[in-house]
Amino acid sequence: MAQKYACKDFEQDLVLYHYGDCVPADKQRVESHLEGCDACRGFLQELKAFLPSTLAVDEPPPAFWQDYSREMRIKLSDYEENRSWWRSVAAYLRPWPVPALAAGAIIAISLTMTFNKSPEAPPRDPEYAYMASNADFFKSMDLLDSIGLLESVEPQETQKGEASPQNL
Amino acid sequence: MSSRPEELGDDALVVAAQQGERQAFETLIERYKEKAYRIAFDFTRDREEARDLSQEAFLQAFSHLKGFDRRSSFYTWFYRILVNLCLDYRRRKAKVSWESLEERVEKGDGFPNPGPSPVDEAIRGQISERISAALATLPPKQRAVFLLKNHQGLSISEIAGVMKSAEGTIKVHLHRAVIALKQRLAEMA
Repeated sequence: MAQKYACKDFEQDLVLYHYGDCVPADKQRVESHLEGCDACRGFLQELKAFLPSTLAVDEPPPAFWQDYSREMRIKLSDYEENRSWWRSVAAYLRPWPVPALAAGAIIAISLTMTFNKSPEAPPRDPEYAYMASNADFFKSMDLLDSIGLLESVEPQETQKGEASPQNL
Repeated sequence: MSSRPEELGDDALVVAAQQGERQAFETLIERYKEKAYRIAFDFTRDREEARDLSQEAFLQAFSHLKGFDRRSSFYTWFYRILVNLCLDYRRRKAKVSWESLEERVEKGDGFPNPGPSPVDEAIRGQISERISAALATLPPKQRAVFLLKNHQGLSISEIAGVMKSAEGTIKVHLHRAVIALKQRLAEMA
């Protein structure tokens, strides 16, 4: 089949023109161009010849359409049945059990947190437990350290104090 | 509903269906089942697949009906669901059988159709097979636009609504699809 080619500027408009989908201004422009252009006229003729032949032909028998409708009704029923099952589940959950359960859970958690908390929890680490039981000893050790520090500072101050009257 | 569902317009049927009247939706199915089936068939070229896809589209429309705000027509909204399903179908199929399809197109065997009836074969003939093969080689969006225009007769603005694209983009897709088909058919002849 020897193809006919249209002018590039008009090709798209010719396709639309064939389908009757041109705006009036374009339609007028195409028609006046067609008057003087053999190539575009040939192209349009080709479109008119081959495009209708591309239509698919399938005419199912009447029984097909009866089955189609029957199947569709069954599918819609199945869909509605599934949907109503889900709705009944949702309807059961929606009005009161969910908020009630949520409120119950919050109360249970807050009660647990309140009553499980002991006033003074003993230290769990054995090292800390040992230190706690010997707190007095460690306090006296700190005191001894402080005394030692004072003693080391005192002689220096005494030396300074002695020197000053001599200087005077 | 006071009048019979068949006498009501799409909008009234949609409102009734949204209020839970299933019969109203069944009327919409009866009204659009043939168009839905045909567009699905254009994509699949297989009767069973087309039936399943179009029925799936109706089910999806039914399940999302409450969310349909009626800013577009039911027809446009439903076509959008159907075309998206068809495009997904094409993508799935393309992944599986693109290479074998290419080979068959080159050999001129036509589009693979798992089990057409002898009557179908007779009706279609060799030219139709070639067209099917040529259509199958189009990119999915070009193919969708072409089928909606050429087979379903939708306007450019309707296709833009269905495909959620600008009208200019639809025009470009249509133009490219037509030129590509023309080229393909010339090569096969």
